[in-house]
Amino acid sequence: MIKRLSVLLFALALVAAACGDDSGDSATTTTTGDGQATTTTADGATPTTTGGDTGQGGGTLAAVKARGVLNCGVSTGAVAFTEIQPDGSATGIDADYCRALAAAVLGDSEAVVFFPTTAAERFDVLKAGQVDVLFRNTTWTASRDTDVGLDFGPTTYYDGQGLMGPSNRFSSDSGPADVDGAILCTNAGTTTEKNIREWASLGGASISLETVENFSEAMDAFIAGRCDLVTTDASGLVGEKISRELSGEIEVDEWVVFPTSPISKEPLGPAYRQNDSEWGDVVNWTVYSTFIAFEKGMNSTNVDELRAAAGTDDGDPEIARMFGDASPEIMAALGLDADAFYNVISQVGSYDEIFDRNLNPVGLFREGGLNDLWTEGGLIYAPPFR
Amino acid sequence: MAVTVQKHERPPIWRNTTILKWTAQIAFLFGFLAIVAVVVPQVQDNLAGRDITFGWDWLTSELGFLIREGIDTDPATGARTMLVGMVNTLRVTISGVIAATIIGTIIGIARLSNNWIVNKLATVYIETIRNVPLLLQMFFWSAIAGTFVVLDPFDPDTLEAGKYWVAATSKGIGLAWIQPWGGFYQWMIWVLIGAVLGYFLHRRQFRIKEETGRETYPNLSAFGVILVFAIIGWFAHPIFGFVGTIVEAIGNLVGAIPTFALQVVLAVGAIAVGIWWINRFLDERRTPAGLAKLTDDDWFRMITAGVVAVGFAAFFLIVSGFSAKTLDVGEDFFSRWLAPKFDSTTNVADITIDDIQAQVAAGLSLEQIAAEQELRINADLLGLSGADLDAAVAARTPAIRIYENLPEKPDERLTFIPAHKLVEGLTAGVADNLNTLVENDGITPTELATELRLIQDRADNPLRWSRAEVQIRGSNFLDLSPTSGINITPGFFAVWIAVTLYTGAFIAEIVRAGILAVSKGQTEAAGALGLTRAQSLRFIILPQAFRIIFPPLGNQYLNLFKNTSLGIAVAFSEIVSVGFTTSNQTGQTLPVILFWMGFYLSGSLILSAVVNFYNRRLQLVER
Repeated sequence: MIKRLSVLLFALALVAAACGDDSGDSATTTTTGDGQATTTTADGATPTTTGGDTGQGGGTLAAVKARGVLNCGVSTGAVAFTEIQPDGSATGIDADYCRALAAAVLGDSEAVVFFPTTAAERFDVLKAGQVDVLFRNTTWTASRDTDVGLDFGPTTYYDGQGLMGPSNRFSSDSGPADVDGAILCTNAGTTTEKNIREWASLGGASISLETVENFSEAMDAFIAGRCDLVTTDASGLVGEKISRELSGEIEVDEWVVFPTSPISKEPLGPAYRQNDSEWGDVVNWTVYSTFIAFEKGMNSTNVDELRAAAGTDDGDPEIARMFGDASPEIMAALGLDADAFYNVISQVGSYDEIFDRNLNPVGLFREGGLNDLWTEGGLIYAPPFR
Repeated sequence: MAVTVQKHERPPIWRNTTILKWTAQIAFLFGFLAIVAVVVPQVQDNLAGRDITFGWDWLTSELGFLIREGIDTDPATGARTMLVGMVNTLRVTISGVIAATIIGTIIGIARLSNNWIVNKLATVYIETIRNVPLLLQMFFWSAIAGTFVVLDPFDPDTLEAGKYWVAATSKGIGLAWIQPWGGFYQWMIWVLIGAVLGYFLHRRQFRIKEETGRETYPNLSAFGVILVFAIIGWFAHPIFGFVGTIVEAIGNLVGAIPTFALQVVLAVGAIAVGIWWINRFLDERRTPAGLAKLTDDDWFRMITAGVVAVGFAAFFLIVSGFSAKTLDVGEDFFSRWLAPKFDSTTNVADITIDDIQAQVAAGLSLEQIAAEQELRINADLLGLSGADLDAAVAARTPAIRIYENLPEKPDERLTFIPAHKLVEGLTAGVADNLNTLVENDGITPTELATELRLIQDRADNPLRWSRAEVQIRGSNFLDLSPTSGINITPGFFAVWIAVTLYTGAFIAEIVRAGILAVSKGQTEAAGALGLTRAQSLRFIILPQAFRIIFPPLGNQYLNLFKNTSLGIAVAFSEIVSVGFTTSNQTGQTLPVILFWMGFYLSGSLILSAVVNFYNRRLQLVER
């Protein structure tokens, strides 16, 4: 009898333990929630903005400020756009825009950590909150704006897809008929794959597409003769061509980039997480500030002079507003320091300055193209700063 | 002695293992479901919070990117895109498993050789390959492939267009290969008859050998019968042309079966299999006295089997789509796929040899002829008829353009036959030079039409050597013909050779260990019986070694299967590479990852089920 009783007690204890387990489970769930919150707080954000750091609503701006450093997603290597240096920093137009954003938000253009991302992983990295913004020659498309869950800022480089092949068989006038039967190389996860199929199919050409992970591999495959042509944004092709010509790897004009009118529209600009308009405004207006500086003829050398002049009665009131001297409430509403855009221009420069510094050496010029000021027939245009 | 109660008493409920066990099972099931119920909404919330949409629409929508190699390089839907990737993965896996097994066995035996050089070479191979990361090896082979001859008509060192036994080029490696030709399927019937007769002969000879001890050469005689039939069939295959009619009739018969009938048959079949399994199980548990002593575990298994059988039966009865699809596929297989293989000549296009000859004489290029046939064959699909069709033919509008511009595309793009598939030989072969071939090289129009695959003559040989062909494609590009010989792309080459050598090294060690594990006494006993070294290997050592080798061998096959996923690094379009592009184009990362996991999981489970099945058959039968 006693034995039975002890067994019964044991069974009861088991049941109790099982129930205890259950409640333990639910407790764990809550802790997990707390745990998440704690982790995010550890990132440096206040509890009210934790949700934003992982995506929904606002919060990226506060998170960046608290962290004291901007996490900027860039390319793993695109000539003149992002060139990763051995010390982990980066040069190029995209890298410079990361610096500009850091200058605006944190007052220091060097407070940037560059995160090189492949074309295929970039959106996941952004959406997972590992980077705050992508300056990674990313084309603005409708599906990325909606389906993929991103928002885009003003275009910093108007590009178009081109093809590159040996100049002994292609010219700048070559068209679909000339690539019929060819194998083309490109890198995975970009708009180029779809564009080229559409272009070839419309032109009645039948092509094969060899898709590699990075564009540098596409270039390797092209040089090894694995494919006849290579295709990506024309700027990238020109960059690869010129840098190889300069290093003496190929003869001048051994390769040709064609066709003259690009086969697609590739507006490249910043991308950030959807539904964070506070952060979106900051990114957009940082880019616009470089446009406005371009329009006003400002650059990092004469900015002090022009700012001082703007303070006088016959000065340019827009410059004064942009630098927070005239109406600091705009800057406050943006959540930035009053002289945030002064930091951008003085530390990084105006649009033309950034462009010329990075893209001219590889043979890409803005004069007369889409990337010139709107008054010169280009598309670089900023809304008024007031 | 007092009266003792001998009556069997049921144990109290908390000590009844049956009840405890079942309670635990059910509790675990509910616990698991509860975790799922917590996790799934949590994941959904998190996804929504990060503006990540989750869905499977991409499986049915067009993704619009090209794939380098596979069964379909321009897939119409996401599902088909993934299918192409899966087939590529399986292609490299299956060929890799075969090659790795052969290499592993040879190297493993070489490792035990008494010849010093052979022995050391095998050791060096194994130690080198095993200790270098597989990814590096893939890069190495990819780089090797990059050093092959560049195919570019403007390069003086290039290969000229023409046929080659071996053509190692920067765009791929072409090898001569045996290809099924005109009379292949009729000939296969001869071979099949030979195989059936050979099987029975083998059984008979083997029985006689067992009974009398007389050497009757069972394997040799069976092989001889197949060979004789194959040789006779090589010449006499056209007499089986009539099989096409029978196959057609079978196809029609399958098509005539109402869906409901198949549903009932399948459901009854599922129940019957369940009953059969339970019966067999009871038989196994029955003692010689005829009493079945069943444990709770046995009951549990039988109930599970019953529930699964009823579940399947219910599935077949409720989901009519499965049965309908099965019937469709069956009908297509017999009527559309198999039956035409027996027609004396197959006109893919509605055009005769004389027509082609006349059109060529009239100055039309073969591409133009093909373009017209493409329009006519796809006329229904394109909604063209009468004057419209004639106008399109006259304008030489590419059919694909009309198709692309259709306001509402038919569901199945498969039904569209593009010109390059219709006349693979045209794009594949000598393209622009075909007209000249007719005039200069004395090639007959029949040969030409056969080459173009417009017509296949069933009276032709069953097999033929197909040499690799460097061809001129489109606007003067050199490429390997996809239809001649076998064509290995640089990506496939790098993945295949890397996984084969890598897995081969591991298999070699397994083989060596297996042979060494057979007791030395066995070899000595075989020697004492007067068996030669070869005989003792063949009859004594290897059969016992194989039993030891097999389970770890299966693991290596699984490793090889999973290692092919590194193919993305060398631009081989396997499932991971294709899925990667898909997820990036659609933004559907999680569904694609789930798809990958499902594919690798089911592939591995199937592979291990096969390995386990053979392993069980190989086990020593102990009494």
